[in-house]
Amino acid sequence: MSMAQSVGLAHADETLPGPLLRVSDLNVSFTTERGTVRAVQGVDFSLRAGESLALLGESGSGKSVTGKTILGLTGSQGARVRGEIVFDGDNLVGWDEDRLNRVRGTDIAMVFQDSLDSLNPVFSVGAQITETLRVRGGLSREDARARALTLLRQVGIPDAEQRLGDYPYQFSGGMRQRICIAIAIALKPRLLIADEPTTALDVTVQAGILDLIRSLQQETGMALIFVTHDLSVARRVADTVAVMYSGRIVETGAIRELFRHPAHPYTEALLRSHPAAARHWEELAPIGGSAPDRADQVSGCRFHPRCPIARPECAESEPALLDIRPGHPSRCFFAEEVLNGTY
Amino acid sequence: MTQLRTSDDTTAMILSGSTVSTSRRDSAAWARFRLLLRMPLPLTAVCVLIAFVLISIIGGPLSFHAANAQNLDLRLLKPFTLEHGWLYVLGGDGLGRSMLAELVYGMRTSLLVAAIVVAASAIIGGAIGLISGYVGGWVDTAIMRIGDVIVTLPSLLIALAVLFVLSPSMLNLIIVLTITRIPVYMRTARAQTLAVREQVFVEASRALGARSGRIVFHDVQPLIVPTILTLAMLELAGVMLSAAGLSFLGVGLQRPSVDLGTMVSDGRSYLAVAWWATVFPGIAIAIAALAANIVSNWLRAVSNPMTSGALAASTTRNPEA
Amino acid sequence: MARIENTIATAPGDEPVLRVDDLHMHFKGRHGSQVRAVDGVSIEVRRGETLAIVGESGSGKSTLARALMRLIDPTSGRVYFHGQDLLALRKGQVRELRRNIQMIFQDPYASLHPLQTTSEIVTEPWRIHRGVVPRADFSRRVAELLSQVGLPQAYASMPPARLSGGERQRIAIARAIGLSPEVLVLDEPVSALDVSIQAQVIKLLMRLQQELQMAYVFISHDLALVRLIADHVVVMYRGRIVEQGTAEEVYSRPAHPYTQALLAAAPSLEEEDEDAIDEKATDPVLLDRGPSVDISVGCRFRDRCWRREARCDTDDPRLVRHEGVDHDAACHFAGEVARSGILNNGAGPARVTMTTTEGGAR
Repeated sequence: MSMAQSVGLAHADETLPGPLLRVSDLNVSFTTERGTVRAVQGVDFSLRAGESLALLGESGSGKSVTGKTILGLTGSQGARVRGEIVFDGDNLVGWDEDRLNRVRGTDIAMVFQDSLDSLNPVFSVGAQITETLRVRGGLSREDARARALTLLRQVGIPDAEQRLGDYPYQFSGGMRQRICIAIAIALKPRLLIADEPTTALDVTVQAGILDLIRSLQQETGMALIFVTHDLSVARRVADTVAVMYSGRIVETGAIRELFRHPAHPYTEALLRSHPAAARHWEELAPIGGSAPDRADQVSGCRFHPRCPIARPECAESEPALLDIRPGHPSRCFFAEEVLNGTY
Repeated sequence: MTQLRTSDDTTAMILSGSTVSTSRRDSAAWARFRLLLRMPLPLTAVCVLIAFVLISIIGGPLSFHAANAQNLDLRLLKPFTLEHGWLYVLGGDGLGRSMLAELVYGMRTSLLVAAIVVAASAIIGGAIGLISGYVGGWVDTAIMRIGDVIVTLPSLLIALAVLFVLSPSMLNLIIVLTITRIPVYMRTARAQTLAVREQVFVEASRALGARSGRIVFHDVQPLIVPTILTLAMLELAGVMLSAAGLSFLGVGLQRPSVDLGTMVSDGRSYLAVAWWATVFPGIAIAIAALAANIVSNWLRAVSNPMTSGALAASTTRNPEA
Repeated sequence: MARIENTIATAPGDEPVLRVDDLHMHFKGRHGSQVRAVDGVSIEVRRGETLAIVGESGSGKSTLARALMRLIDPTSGRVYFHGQDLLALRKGQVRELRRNIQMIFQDPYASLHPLQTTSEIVTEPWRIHRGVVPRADFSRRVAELLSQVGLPQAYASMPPARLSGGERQRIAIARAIGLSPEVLVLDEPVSALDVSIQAQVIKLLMRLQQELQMAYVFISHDLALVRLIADHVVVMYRGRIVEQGTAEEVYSRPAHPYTQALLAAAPSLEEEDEDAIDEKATDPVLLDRGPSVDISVGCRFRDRCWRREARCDTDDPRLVRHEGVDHDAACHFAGEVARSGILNNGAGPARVTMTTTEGGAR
């Protein structure tokens, strides 16, 4: 795909029947002084064009590593990646930097948690957006400037014309994150990966960013992977959710349905421990213990030491991710019971 | 929670400056030792240094006499023959002294001087930098300006001047070199202290009611010591070379003290006819300095949580499935 | 000067243990400007009670916390502990004071020394304040504390480096209560933790409060969380209190537009909540501005406020009781704002709760 083409070509794949992204048996491990850390194990999921998926998990779940690995950003830390990441027919695993760079920005783009770190402090905001457009998009200076202006307006920066020449530090956190989003969508990627983009922002500003991402996604038909630990954020921005625990996906499904009727003990416990679920602190239902060290092996199901309904089978073998209802797989031997609340 | 969280968590932690060391005291040292065993170059360097130290300790006192015993019959004796006994296997110098003995004793002296200078300057410079960085204010400014003055004056020239006036001796050499090396430690210790001082756990100590003195020596100091140690290793090579240089110029040690620098100087006149008199001590200096450099580079790479993971990965022979 | 004494408690709730009077904390900003991080704040908290200070970045809540503990010295104002003026103390007496007012910090990965063992960390207060606990009792007391905060005894000799955020925060709590303080200042103590662990630590904190009858100054931006634990709530915005009252009052009838925005943004997992939110209160274009207006004149929230009028540009609203509102708010139109019931049609705090599973709340 030539550079000029990739800027204009946005929706060509909507007619394809297959998924835009299919991740199969993804395994990512790091070697550390203490041994091998298996950050992601056997992760499978797929995404169609225009779909939005939330990767939901607490710290240590592997959600962030998964998101970054799709773009091949974990190589510098000594990661070993196995499995398949098939984007539009091509398996990205094993690609070298040059090949990956052609995909980055034009087909798959990413927004990170820290907008201040993502932007170059010595260049104006306008310069950073137009740089992308001119170098990767092949636009002329005038066209790039016009498009940059459009983008800034699109992401909701007031007085965009005046602010093109401003520097990152002159914007508030929420505004900066909007600029990062503008840069990310500049080349009309088909997939946007957002890694906790609102976690560092004030609560009153978060909602605006989430709504922006949602509406941009719906306008452009872009697929979205949203990595987060926050249940309510996931609910606001995604259609489907994949709940991750200790490097594995434990449940996937349509988000509102899943939150109302979880089919995995971890998901249920997570929902119940949320402050919004209680009226008084005495009602809070925490999950006992803590997540296992990812350098350790746990026999059987990774969650069983903390699971309220653990049975002897759970320590012996690890359950597979099986559909409990169509389109709603769960990694638990007793998913049916959890779903029906009969345990 | 993994000890070394090598996902974005580690990066976030590092960026937020929240951890200086992410591993247990004991197991970190042990893990590094195991890592060292897997890397041939640093391992060799460490072995070389250890060998030099052992030779110096054992052979030092034994060789003192032979290093100064002139035997004019054997002057400029060629090396690599055993005709005149094993003592002269490396040849003789311009006055017939055993090269082997001189090398052993010279290495001992060079290492000793370097070790004392490094230790003294590290401790004194480190302590000053630590206090200066924590206290701040005009005290800090004053101390740093003094350090700047020492640094701007060419150290070799200072040393030359002082030793020329005061008469060369081992003690004076050590004092002069120590003084010129102190500012490096001061600055490093101060920089680290400034960073550590802003950490939340220091604030927590203050919130508990700890006095400044306690915070400085109990909380801050253990965190800057590793960097000072690494710096000291690097300095070792430099100091050895400086001391050798001064001795070469004739203002360092004098006979009967021998160090590698004096050997090079002594042998200079005979370079055309007896190259070994200069070259052997030269090689010895080079190897020691190189070994120290390699070890300190490795220590630096291994102390940094971001690079140590990649380092460990690159040395694993059997990647796990 | 009188010594600070660990006074025997009077009947709970009589007099405030800690009282702050018109505290100001001004810093010199760029180009000679003045940053008024805390701009005239007065609060009080009683034994066994929790005062929640709610605000986002730039509100001044963390600065206030540090001024309370005299980790920084306020520009003006007074802080009274059992009626004694803390700011009049000399350094040595401040150290004594530290036995009675302790702090829990936000980041459990940063607030514990990376090289010390748990035992060393927990015994630190007793080493600093010699004589409170005899050396011989150290290990026994450490064992008691560990068990009180729910940590296994084996952790005593371990450095916290290997422990999770929740466990580290427990160590920080054990360290803080080691001297049986009367007041605990908690600066976003669970914000850095996973949600399921937050619940653990909150329950621990509240249980300890019941046991030891400590007064809590709980700083947070999370309104859903604060609702579960606070007796009184103070909402701060750019250095000022914009609303204060009991938790019940503030949550059921918020009388300041900023409080409404905060409540609307609080995590909710129910669909009804989202539909009930009036667009006006949460207009992202307004809210996203981030604090930018010159605060020396007029209301400091005006550039992000849906109810703004000309008056707001010049008239700085004071924190007073408005007609028709049962608590204090700093808005010219507090009465109207409270009545608008923008969030809940006056239905009360029930709005922010939810039951998630069909099996019912357990």
